[in-house]
Amino acid sequence: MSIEATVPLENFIQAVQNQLDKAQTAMAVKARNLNLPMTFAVKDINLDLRAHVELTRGEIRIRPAGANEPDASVFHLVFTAITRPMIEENAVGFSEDPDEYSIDELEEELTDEERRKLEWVGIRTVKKLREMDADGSSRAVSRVANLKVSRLQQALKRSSAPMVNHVTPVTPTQDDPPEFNNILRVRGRNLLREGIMPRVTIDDRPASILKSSDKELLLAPSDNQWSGVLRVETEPEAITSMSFDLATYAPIATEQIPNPDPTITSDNGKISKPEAKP
Amino acid sequence: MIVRRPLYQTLSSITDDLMSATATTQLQTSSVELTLPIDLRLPGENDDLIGDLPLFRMRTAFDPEPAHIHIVLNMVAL
Repeated sequence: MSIEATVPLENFIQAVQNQLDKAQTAMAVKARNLNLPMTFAVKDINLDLRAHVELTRGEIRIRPAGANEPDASVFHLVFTAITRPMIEENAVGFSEDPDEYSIDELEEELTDEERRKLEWVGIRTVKKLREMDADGSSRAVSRVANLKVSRLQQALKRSSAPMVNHVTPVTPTQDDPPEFNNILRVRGRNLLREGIMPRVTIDDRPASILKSSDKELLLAPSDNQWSGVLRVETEPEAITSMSFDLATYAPIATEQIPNPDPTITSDNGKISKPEAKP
Repeated sequence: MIVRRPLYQTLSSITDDLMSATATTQLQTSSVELTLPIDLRLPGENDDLIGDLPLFRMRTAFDPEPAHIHIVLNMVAL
């Protein structure tokens, strides 16, 4: 059975659900348009499907039975309408934290099959994977999911590496002090390692950190650090770098205008006349 | 070429007919149950699941057995 001729069982079930939703919507819309006080609603649907089943790369796939294939399996699928509270009660809490990352983010470290195996044992987010490592259950998980511990460790190491998404200048409000004009905001993830501030350089010169959190850094760059290569190092082997160019946002240096009146001196921007000598 | 309908259109069509049939009676229909043969065709990416009533009552040896669908519809207020 070629993989092209088959469909993941999960996709088939979702396709049926999608059709039921569409049918329900169509019935409701029609009843409203015709000003009908009542309409039919799908309560239950049982579907008997004769199909062949196979497990490919950790995924259950089906192919409907053709003619003269009496030995095919019979799938008896039962769909029932449930209310929103029931959905919320039964749905897996995929990502309560909006900043949480799906395990699919590790597509470079883990194959589709490996990620699916982790989902089978309930690990759907990177955070969950880290928690598993922290409480020492990675060996048990690797045994249950039939994954090598070294693969998990490697994925964890990559998942905890710092990552910079973007660098933006901080837009000061009217209430902010004037020095807020010279701040860069770096957004990303894993920017702190166990609460310790990272080492940040721009073009190999250290940049001052005003504030740091796991997802954001506020930097105070010098005048010539508004473009170049930003490098964030949380530990010796956990480094990320990103090129950026915000030179147009760099503070403009005050030009030294020649003083036409030698009797007037400028001191720190304050203009004053020298006192007359007696 | 006969175009086969997506499953949702088949279901909507059945409920339309039921609404028409029950509207003319004095009795209020509260629930309907149907068991139907249905030809299912697996969807490609971004396609609807094709699910329509079989075209022919007599099937040849070349025709795969249809799936069967049992639907319970309840009358609900809007």
